[in-house]
Amino acid sequence: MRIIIFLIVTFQLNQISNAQNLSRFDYFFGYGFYEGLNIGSEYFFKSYKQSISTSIGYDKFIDKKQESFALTIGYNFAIFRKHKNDSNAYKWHINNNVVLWQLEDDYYIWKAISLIPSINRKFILCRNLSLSFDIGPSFNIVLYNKRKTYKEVGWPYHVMPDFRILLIF
Amino acid sequence: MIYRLIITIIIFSIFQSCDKIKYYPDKDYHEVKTLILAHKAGGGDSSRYQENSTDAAKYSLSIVDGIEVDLQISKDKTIWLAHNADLSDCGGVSYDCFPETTDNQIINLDSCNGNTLNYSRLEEIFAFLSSSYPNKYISLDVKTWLPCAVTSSDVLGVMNVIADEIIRLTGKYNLQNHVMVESETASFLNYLKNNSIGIEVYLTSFGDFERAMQLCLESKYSGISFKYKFGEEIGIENIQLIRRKGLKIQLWTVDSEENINEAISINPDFIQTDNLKYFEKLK
Repeated sequence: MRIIIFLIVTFQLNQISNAQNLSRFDYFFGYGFYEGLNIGSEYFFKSYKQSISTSIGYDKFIDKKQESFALTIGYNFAIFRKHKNDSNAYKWHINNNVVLWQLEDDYYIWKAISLIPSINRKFILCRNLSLSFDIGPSFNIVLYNKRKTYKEVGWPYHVMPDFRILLIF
Repeated sequence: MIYRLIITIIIFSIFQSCDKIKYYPDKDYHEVKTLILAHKAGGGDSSRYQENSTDAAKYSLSIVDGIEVDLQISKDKTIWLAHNADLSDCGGVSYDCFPETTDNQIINLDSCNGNTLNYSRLEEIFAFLSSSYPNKYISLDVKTWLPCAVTSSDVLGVMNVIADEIIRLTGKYNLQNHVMVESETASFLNYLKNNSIGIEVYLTSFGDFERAMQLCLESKYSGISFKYKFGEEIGIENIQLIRRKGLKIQLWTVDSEENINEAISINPDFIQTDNLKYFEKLK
């Protein structure tokens, strides 16, 4: 897990350093319910109509009793096409994200995978800055769990709504 | 833009009030006396009675708090006591399996076998329990049933017929709150739970206590029927936790004196045992 995160961070730092020459890359940070406070990048192809994205996230800010890490990989495509060869021409997208997340609280350690198909709307704030909203159901599958205490009984919700807000630059 | 931002903040706040993990609330906690059930009606192995038989049940009910029996259903929709669905051949006649065999054929097979193998109906046990020991318990083990012929391949349909018959017999003999049903098949347990009053349903678990507990809470089952010392060790913390959550637990099959004493010390609701001799001595 640490190796995967290291490779993704290295890859993303490398892309950030070359960002001035790679207009087909976007970078973003924001917050998602399952993605946590996350940072990542998105690579556009097929005349900006499709993209793949990756991000890493961490969350202990909203609920102090829970700590979570998340790795998100997504395949996204634009809908309601307006103009060719302009990434900002596409306001609506369908995103398909896979989130590998680990959550630890007072009672359990959970590792799970979430499949999140979502609808995305992008708002252009200025030339190089956009605000993006995702909303969709998250289908959660538990991969591993370990009980820490015998105080509570729980299980991750099988389906939960997911919401993600990103600042893209 | 401000309007959109306000909507976003509201949605964001709603989502953050949700939790990723569903925790189940505590119920009233109360200590219980562990009750002993005679496994397979107390017959088989070293017993002088045949397993899953009326004779074994009559004897066991005079010793312990209840019995556990295995069920099969015949072609005539009668519930018989047997661990396996297969029937043996006798007198040159080949018998198929319970769901493909009529009651008369089972009676003929019983006669053919003489005293070596007798089949009992569940109704006989219910009638005896109701008349002689109305405060004792019976746990009915319904195995995940495999079709033995294409004409009986409607597995869930057959299991639901078993459920209907259990419900009918429980009502007929006024055994509400003294009948328990254990099975690995969730749809069967759901059907039974939704269509009966006073019958407890237990999810059979072969070692995964955590998942079984969560499934029981999610599906509102009465408790877990847990294979003892198999896969996962179970301790007093596990028992106290499920009791706090309003669930019960049966441990099976606890046979050695050492294991019986150890199991009783962690205070489960029920223990199923083949070792009736140990409880004969205590009586």
